[in-house]
Amino acid sequence: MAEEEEDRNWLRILAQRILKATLWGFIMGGEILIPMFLMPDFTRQFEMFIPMRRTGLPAIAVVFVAFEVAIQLLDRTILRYALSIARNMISMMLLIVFTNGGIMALSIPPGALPPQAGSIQIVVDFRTIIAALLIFSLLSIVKNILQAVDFLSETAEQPLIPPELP
Amino acid sequence: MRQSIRALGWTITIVTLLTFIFLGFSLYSLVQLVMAQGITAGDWGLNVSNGNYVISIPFSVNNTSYFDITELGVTTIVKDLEGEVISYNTTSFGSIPRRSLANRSHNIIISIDKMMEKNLTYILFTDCEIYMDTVISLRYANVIGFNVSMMNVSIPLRAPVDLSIGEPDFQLEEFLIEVPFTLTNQSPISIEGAVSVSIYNQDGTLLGSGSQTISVRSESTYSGRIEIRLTPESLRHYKGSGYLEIRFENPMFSFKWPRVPYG
Repeated sequence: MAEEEEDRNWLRILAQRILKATLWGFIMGGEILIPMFLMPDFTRQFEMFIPMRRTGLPAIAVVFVAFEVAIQLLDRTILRYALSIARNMISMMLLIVFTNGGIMALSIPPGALPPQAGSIQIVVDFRTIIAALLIFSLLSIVKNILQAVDFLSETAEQPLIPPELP
Repeated sequence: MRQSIRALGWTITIVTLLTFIFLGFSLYSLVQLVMAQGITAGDWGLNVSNGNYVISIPFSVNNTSYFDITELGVTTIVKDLEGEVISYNTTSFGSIPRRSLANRSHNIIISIDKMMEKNLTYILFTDCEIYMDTVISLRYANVIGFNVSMMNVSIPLRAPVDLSIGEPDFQLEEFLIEVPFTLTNQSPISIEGAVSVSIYNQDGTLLGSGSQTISVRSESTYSGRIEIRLTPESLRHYKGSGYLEIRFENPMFSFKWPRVPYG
């Protein structure tokens, strides 16, 4: 009887965490991935204006969703902060890689223009913006470290037992 | 400690949001500027000055957007068919503050002296195509840089020096052939040198040649006749048809026109 009640409590705990992880996973990138893989016709029309696959947006979304689900499942543990730091570092690297360090070039090939027009290339330099976003990511890492230190000091003072547990 | 962490978290969130809002707003403002044709080029004007062709392109920048345009510059590189650079010019327009209008002019200077140095004088005598690379660069809102390059835009060029050869006048009993010619000089320099004509039969045997020294001022036309004296030997090779080779020579350069058939 007591064992059955304990099992039900664990199920309740897990269900709550899974539900929360699903919701946050959807918020952090699921709304991009779900239409992309379940509604390919809709995505194809959208990609005429914004070529998402070429910009690496699906890869970034998958990373964010995976990390967010793991963070929510491991809430109230030290691993949550470690995963947050890892997510920030990976997102910084992805930002640099997919934006080519803040310099992106778009070329219109000669075939797409009249013969006497030659070729057109447009280069956009937004390194300042990228630098600002990288600084914010670094500050976010600092924040997570401080939160981890605070969490560890709190658990050192008194063992932290999640309220869901009996 | 917890309050500080919370404040740091909120600060990061707010500043990140403001950055994205600024980025979106500045791009929207730039797109509006482009759609409203804020940067336009007027009709080209051609002038001749100090032995140079000067092609003047007026630019008008009507910055109706919310941010300044800085480091605006135009660079043009004119090349011949072989890729040899004929002219390289850069104009810096400086900065155009928001809600202001600026008019500037970009000059493409083609120096005849430089053309002679680089053995490009054939451009004076033959219709040809030249290629132009144009680079327009600017910085918007002091943050986002743009660089638009239009490469290998072809521009047909009509030869400023035109030579036309009339039908040769064969006075064979006098061992003489007269070749009438007209040279029109629309280049910015005077053309001084010798026009020489060599006449061949259809088998490629040289029958004779003659030349005439000319001096044609800029924007003028010269008509003359070149006399070719024949020998009894060369007259025997005359067959009624063949071709003429015309050449222009002066101490600085020479040019040979394509063969002109006769008969």
